[in-house]
Amino acid sequence: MSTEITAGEETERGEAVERDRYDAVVIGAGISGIQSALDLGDQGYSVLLVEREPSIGGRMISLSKVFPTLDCASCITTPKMSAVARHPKVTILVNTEVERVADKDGEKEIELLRKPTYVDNRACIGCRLCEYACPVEVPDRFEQGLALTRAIAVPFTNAIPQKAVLDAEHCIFCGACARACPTDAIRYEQEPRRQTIRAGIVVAATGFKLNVGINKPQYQPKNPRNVISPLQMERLLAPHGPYGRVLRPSDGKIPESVAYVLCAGSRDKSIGVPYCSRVCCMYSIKQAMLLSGALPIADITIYYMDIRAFGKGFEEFYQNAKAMGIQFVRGKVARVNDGPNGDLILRVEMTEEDGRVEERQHDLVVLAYGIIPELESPEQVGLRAGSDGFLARPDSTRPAFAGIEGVFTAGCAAGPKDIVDSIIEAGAAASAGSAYLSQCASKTTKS
Amino acid sequence: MSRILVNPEFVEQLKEYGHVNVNDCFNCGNCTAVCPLSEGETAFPRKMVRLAQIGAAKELAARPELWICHYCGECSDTCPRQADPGEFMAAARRKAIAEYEPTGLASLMFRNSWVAVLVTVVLAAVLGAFLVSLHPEESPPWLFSLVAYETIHIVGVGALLGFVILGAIAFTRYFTRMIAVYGGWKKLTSPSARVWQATKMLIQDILTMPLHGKCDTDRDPPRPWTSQPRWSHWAIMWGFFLLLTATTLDFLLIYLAGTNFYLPARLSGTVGGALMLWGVIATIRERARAAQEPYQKSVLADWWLLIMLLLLTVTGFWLEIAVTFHWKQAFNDWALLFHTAVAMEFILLTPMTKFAHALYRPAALWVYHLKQAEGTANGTA
Repeated sequence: MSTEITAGEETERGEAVERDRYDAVVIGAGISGIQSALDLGDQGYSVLLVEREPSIGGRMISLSKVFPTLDCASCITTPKMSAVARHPKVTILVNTEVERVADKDGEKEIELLRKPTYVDNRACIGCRLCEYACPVEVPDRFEQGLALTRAIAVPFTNAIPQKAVLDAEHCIFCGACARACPTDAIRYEQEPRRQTIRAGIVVAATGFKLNVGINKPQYQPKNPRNVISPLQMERLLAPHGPYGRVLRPSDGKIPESVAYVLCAGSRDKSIGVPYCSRVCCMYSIKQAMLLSGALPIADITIYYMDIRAFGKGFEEFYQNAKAMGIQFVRGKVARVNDGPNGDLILRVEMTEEDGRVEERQHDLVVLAYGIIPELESPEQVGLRAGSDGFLARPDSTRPAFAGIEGVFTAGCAAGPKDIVDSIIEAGAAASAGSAYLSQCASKTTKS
Repeated sequence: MSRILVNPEFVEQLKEYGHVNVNDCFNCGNCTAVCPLSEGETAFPRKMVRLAQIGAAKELAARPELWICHYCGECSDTCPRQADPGEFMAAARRKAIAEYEPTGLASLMFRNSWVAVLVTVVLAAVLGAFLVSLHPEESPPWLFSLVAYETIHIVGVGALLGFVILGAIAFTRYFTRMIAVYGGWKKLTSPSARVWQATKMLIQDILTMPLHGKCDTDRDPPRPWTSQPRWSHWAIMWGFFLLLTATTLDFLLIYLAGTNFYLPARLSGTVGGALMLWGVIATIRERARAAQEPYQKSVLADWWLLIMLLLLTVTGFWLEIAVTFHWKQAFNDWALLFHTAVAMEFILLTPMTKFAHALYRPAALWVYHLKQAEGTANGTA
């Protein structure tokens, strides 16, 4: 029941799609996609920035601070989000998935699926009265499930755009939001729409996710509530996080002993993720540092196989953490077992001491899950995958080239990397992309 | 401890004894921590892997940990490098058996399954021919037309003697080296209270194999006891003991003492045979299912030994039925010949096959318990 929308039409979702051709389509509006869009836009190219979530900002906007500088993550991300949202050459489509990237007449043809939000974005003013009126509480995805939000809500405080989104899966269609809305913006009858866009180049900045659902029974105690993901810990540590301070999820206890299990979902052939996720060592050290500020009397232990502190300032950061009293234990945690009162017991070999096996009790455990591609099967949308499942990068002399002419990658779409590297790569993709575009333009002129 | 020369070639030698891949190991310690038998300072297999990586062959072969492992396979299942520490331990055990037994046969048989098959067939044939060559008396009672009753006992005593000599050499080599690795007899056995404690624990291990039971503690979902290796292993071991007892009783009470008091021997033989039969069938079933890691790496020799054991048990029962019901058939005599020859061969070959663990494991467990007792003694002091 989808209807095509034509170019030039002002959609009821508020984003004017001025035309059906752009110089560049950037897939994913995380920090990499935003940076690529800005870099291309600044060079005068028209850019369509497509995001599947209801807000731009990606993973980075939900982080507390960044390593190794301990700068506030949202203080860096928010201005970038704002800049791209107001950029005259950049058009943003949120709630939109890319279904297919294909070649057509030497250009790219991109099929988009624009998901309904059940809100008319031209009318919505982001006042949140619908959110306050909604009686249905649902897990808050932005808070990584640690808090609740409503079935209709603005995604998060500094989301862009500030428009409410209705969660049709949980909505009971009681009409409370429609009655509360001062601008009559609620549209229960909205349908998904398909749209085709043509572009000179595509930058795939599809990002990563954590393999939280990994099949590893050794890390699945019967009571897993105090086993959390690092992204959950980021929210606990964020100043505007779900509890406003660090509490453990099961009973709200202030943790006295926090453990980090590194390589919990990567560098492990037995679970099919043989590569290194590259950021876990550093964000664990960063979180440990932040924790020792938030919980001054807590013991923080990082269980590791090797500390990979390879970036600028990383090793110093690591040495600082050691000096701060954060414990580093070399040994891969083999089991996370249930302990008393919701605590957890880790089994680990003390490989740097006498090799004895210890069972160590902690009241909060962070599993450093592996970084896997958010885009599960690139081939299905017309992109190429490498052997590790991330987007292909066949030519080491063209670092942003995705193996298909006119398609470039940025950030974690092509493999795990930190924010600094992602931004560098986003610039590289924009640069390679703009070179490609100007080559195409000169060819057209000659012919 | 003696000086160890680093020998990177050792892993290559070890590869002849199994699927060894330990050069992939980066010593993360997962295998040790996941092992339900690793406790406190008795931590393996990573330390054993390390010994192999540096080529400390003698030290490795002397470690009791080799024999404490029952190969549940969890270390191999969860190894981040798929370095297969479980299979490595099995290969190290085979290498140790080959190193300690004096004939050199074990090395040949472990490295090539066909040699194992050949050796067992030829030895059985030689033994059989020898048994037949000692002619029975003029008018033998039924069943003993091929092999005489007396012959069985005399040759049997010979086979047992052969086993004792070979076994004693192998065991002494192992035991002295293991004690040396642990700093000598005196260090290990003082205070003497530890000795009693360790012996008590060892007896318990032999009676019900609680350590082997630990291998199943972390399985999720748990298995029924009928498919737990602990109990099939237990059944084979006790089946063997009871059958040996039956033969010994028969020899002592009937052959030597000349009495007609056959009930104890028959009872122990029947129970032992039943246990053995169930144990062997359960093991074959689990190996065929190949559901668990250790059995995925089955080689011909593993199957061959199990099949021989099964045939041995089945012919044993056949003979028992024949004797009980006076069921006279020419086949019985052939079954007796097969049964006797193969049984004697098994006894003779024990130090050279995987059954040699029956020699080493009790000693290793005893030392393991001595070490554990030391730990608790230090803990209380």
